[in-house]
Amino acid sequence: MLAVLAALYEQAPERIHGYDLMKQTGLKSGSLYPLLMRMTDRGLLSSEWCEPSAPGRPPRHAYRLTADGVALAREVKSDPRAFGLGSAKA
Amino acid sequence: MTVLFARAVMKLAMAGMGSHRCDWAAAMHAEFAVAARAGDGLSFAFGCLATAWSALPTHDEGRLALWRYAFALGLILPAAAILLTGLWLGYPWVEPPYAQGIASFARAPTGLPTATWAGNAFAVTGLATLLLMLAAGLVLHAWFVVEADWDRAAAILRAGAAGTITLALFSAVAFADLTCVVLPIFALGVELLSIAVLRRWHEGDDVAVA
Repeated sequence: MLAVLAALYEQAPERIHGYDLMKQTGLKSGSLYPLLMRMTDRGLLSSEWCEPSAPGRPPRHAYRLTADGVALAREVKSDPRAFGLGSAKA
Repeated sequence: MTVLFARAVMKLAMAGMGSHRCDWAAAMHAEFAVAARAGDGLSFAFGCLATAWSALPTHDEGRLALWRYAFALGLILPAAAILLTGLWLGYPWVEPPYAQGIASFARAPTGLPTATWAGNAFAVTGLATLLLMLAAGLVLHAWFVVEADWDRAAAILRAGAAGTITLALFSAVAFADLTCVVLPIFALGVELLSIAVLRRWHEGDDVAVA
């Protein structure tokens, strides 16, 4: 979850699509989507539908951190060891 | 071919997401289009399938879907396979060694099939066709149970019951040996059990169709 949190924090306040988040974090869809669902259920993440980029393509879901998510991401970044990270990389 | 397979896997994943996650299912489907264009469609689809199936036991709708699959794959389809195997081995005409085995299992007396063999051989084709229809009905029944289409499942069940009774009546007249209706009655019992239990759970839990 920390990798997703970090990727979304770097992107904030912009939204990011699921597939782009997969590429950015290196996670497979089978790992990413359960994380996104849990983060949304916990109020760390908000999602919204975006207009299709081209005619005939479906609208896409985009994600960004909520205020709680941003606060948690800052907390992780300021004290990574408390979250089991050895370096300053969150 | 890979794209078609990926689409099929994705469709399966979407079906397994459940109504409470339909928004997420739509989100995954939209990203699947992007992943497929990038050549990652199949691995993306399998990831979504893993996501959907791993969540099934965590919600009522998913648990009920798992039970429906368990009944269909573990009870109803094996019952159909038993009927088909019996048909392959000559059912409803039961040779003495098999007849004795079935009669011993069902604690039923065996008749003397050889006594009526010549006179009633005409009945074998009709009864075998009926048995084949009963097996096909079981396959349809399994499908409707998985789909939670209880009305159609019940209709198939009623037809199966009528077929089994017909088989019993004609077998009694033609063969004087009721061992040949043991398997169809067993199959009918499986159908009755599965639909009664599943429908009760479905209505008791008051959950949506998966």
